[in-house]
Amino acid sequence: MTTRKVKGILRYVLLVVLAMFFLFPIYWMFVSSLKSPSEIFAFPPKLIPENPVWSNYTKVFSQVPFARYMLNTFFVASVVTIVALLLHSMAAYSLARLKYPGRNLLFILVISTLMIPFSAILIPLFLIVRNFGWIDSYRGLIIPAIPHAFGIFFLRQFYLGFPRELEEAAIIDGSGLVRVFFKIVLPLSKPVLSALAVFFFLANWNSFMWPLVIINSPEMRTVQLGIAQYGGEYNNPWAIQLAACTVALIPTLIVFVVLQKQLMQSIKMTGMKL
Amino acid sequence: MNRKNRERLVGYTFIAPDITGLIIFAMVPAIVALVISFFSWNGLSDMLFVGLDNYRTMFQDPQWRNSIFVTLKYSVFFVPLNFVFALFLAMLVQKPGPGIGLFRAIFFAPTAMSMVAVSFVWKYMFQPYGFVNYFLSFFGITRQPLLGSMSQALYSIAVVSLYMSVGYYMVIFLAGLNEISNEYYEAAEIDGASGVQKFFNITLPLLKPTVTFVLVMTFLQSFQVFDQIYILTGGGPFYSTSTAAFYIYYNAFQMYQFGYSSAQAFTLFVILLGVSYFMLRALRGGNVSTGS
Repeated sequence: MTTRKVKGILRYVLLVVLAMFFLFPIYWMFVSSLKSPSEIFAFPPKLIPENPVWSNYTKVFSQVPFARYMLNTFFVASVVTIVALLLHSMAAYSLARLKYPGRNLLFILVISTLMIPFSAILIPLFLIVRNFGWIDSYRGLIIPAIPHAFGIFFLRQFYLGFPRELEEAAIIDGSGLVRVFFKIVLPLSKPVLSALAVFFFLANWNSFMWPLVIINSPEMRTVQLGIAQYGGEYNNPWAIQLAACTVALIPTLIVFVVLQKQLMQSIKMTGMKL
Repeated sequence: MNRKNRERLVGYTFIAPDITGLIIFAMVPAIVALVISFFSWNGLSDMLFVGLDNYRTMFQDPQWRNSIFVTLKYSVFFVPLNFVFALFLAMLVQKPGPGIGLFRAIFFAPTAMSMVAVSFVWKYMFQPYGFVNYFLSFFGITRQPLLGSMSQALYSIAVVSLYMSVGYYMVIFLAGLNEISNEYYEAAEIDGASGVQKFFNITLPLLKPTVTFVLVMTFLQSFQVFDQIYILTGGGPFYSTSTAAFYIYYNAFQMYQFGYSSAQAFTLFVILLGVSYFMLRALRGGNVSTGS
């Protein structure tokens, strides 16, 4: 065998070992969620449960309003995503294309908020939202999550490279700027917007620190809070909480499997962080 | 209205909602954090102006010093290992081949997952009778306390963080690696350069903008670590995993010392701003493959 061949085989051996390491926690989450109280800390651990306890999953939904948590999260993440995409593309188009005094200053303002770390403004953000009376509400979860400098920056880059001819033709035809934006520019932005949508949806579905701070009542909980503060089970807590984790992970894994190429592409373009 | 004025009107209208949002939910809070840090306040009572007292308290607070130390320890462990593993993975999956796309997707998958859920399954695996100890037993290692130990808990948390972020930075490195022209490697091969030589004399220097970007991003990320800590250890045992962000959260939302925790938050902000500044300086001039 040539060294090249040996190297090729070695590469795949390494890849398979690493892939197993990456997949194992997810596998373990799932199989352990089906374990009985006697199996959950059996040593050596059972790689496959003998009698899978599927009722662990029904318990997730009967002991706590987990379906409500999912609905809450789905609603919040969807609204944030849709509104953010609309507002960011408008802002980005304005910054990239339209001419008005103070535009550069506004752009610097947008960019400078990139430097503000979330954990540093958590307390004032909580106080401001409390002042608005938005604690424990959808508004409190949704509205502060919308402004996002990275999204604006990302779309601005896209509109800077957008072919001008299409807009100019429409303007000569007598269409107004607003019409041009909504009828021509926005529909042509679909690919880039769908990539961003994946980001926003996942980030909001997985968001934890902000809901933790502003949500008090059980029925307003998001999925992540529901897992972290699971309070229903005393008999087999690990397995049932792992079942809740599996349920919470399923939508993100579906989104990932369907759209992972777009996700990778947009990370390559921007270095955007969830 | 003439065309120029109309363009101005549309321009301002289009950007107004987002700018308002950024001002209210990002700029103002940054300033408010500084203002509150000069007051003693539990969030309900009247605010009492105390000048720099909160900062004085902070510098003498052994818990705060501990949390900065813990954060640094975590960073020093996480940042280099994340760098090495991510670059290693990127080089491993760079060349196309059968199934490579699938491997890339598998390594990248944790990017989409919930930190809370993934932390929870690791917490289960880190238990004394959990899978990690079972795995270690194959290497003749006796049962380890892991999350229950002051010396091991922080590194156990870092393992979870690495699991979650290595694949993401692999994709960033892939973008950087793909921009390096093959001609360099071909020329080096003609000169008889070894793989190690090629890595240190071509790959690493030409990857510099990406390297800087990744190092600074992970540094910023590691200084704000929170979700994993909350789920895995809650800052324990004995504050050994109480990082800066966790301690700030604890002071604000468990102890209701809003003034004092704001002083800490603002200090953290200044530390991170300093780092961001050096990031921009270091990135300037380089051709940044990540586009930022």
